[in-house]
Amino acid sequence: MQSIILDVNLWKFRSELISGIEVTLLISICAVVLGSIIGLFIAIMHMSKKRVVNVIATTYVEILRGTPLIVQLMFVYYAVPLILQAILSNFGSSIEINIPTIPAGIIAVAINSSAYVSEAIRAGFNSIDKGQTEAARSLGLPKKLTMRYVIIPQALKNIWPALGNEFVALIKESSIVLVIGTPDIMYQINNIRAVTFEPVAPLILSAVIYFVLTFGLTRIMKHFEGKMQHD
Amino acid sequence: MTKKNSEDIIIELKGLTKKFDENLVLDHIDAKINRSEVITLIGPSGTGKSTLIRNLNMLDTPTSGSVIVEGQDITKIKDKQLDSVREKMGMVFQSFNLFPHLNVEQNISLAPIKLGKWKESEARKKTESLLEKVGLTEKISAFPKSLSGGQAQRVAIARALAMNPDVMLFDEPTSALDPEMVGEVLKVMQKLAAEGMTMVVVTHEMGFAKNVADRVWFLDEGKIAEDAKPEQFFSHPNNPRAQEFLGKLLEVNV
Repeated sequence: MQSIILDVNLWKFRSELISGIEVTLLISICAVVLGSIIGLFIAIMHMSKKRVVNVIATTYVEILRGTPLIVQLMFVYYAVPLILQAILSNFGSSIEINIPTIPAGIIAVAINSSAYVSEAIRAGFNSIDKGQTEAARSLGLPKKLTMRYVIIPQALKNIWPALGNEFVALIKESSIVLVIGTPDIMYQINNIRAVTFEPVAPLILSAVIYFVLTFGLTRIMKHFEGKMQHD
Repeated sequence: MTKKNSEDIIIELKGLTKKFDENLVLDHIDAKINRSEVITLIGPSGTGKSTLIRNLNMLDTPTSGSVIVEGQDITKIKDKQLDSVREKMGMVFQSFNLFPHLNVEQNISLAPIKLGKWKESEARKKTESLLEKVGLTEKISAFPKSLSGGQAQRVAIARALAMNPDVMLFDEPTSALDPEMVGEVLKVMQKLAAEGMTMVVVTHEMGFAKNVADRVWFLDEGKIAEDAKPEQFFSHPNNPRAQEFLGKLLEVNV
């Protein structure tokens, strides 16, 4: 047991691991931000009184929740460029389109996350008393300003913890971007396994890295949640 | 600038009708409110008092009929115009509806600043003078959560006044308050009335109706069953339901 874990000198791979952590964090942060923005629009569409808009939002959420992230990821990376190319070729263009792996990973994870975030956002909005809207509208504030200054700030307070959890979940789930060759933590770990012929130690190391990241972030968020309760 | 006509009617209701599904809550109400009048709406629960007041600024939209505010039928105007009518009609709610994420100053100054009525530089001074009016200057930086019910409702009144409205609508402003806090809110409302504010008040506070109102509207089955001066209404109500209602109140007061 000891020999499996300790005999390998993983320290010399620190720069690869650090860059892997950077990529994982970059993807998770960008995806949660982008996913939240998309999720917000989807949630707004979902809450719309117009039926068509409503159906579009529901369909979007159901499709994304009903298909695996890995399919969505490969679709963004392999299929979308080809589709774009085919469309552009109709206009006489012969440009070859390639989406680099990191942006592709961010887009796929963000879109996937937006479906879940939109549900959290909807719940956050629905929990706000309708008296808030009534009070704002009775002052003459138009719908948009009411949303912006009265409803959204309060909804965010409800949504923030859910977004935090989503971010933590993405750190783990984004490890799937390995399949399109995005140089995240798992990609680096796999390389280390290949180079060192060590099957176990790098995996344990990856578990430790993921655990430290998620546990640390959860703690930090708990701290901020606690602070927000005091307002 | 507000239009004035000879009678100086500020709000006129014509055939105002509101149905919730098949349930007729307001039944062809015709009424006029003059500038500077204080009207109290009283009556048993479920007779449409709150619905009526909420129809005055289109928080509830009537099923049919008109609400004419300062000469303009607000049931037929666009959202944008409705917003500017609402600026002129302050509203105070039973459950205060202060914005919990904003402090007292921000609660009061949000609308006037965002709607361009106040410059940001003068907001503090104007907020202070409004708080002075409701006796709460020391609470300017407090958050709603830390206020008592009476204080919260006074802030809500100040917030509505910040838009410099022509009419104030009060929807059971003291019903959610502990008894010892009712007085402080009524006092502020009484002061407003004395300054000539046009007020429509849904209330169960008969003392306020008696002493402050110019007219009492007794609502029954979706109609204004009696529209009378308070002294007349409380001593000789004509409507049998009103007699019954007042009789019950007397029993309670014994």
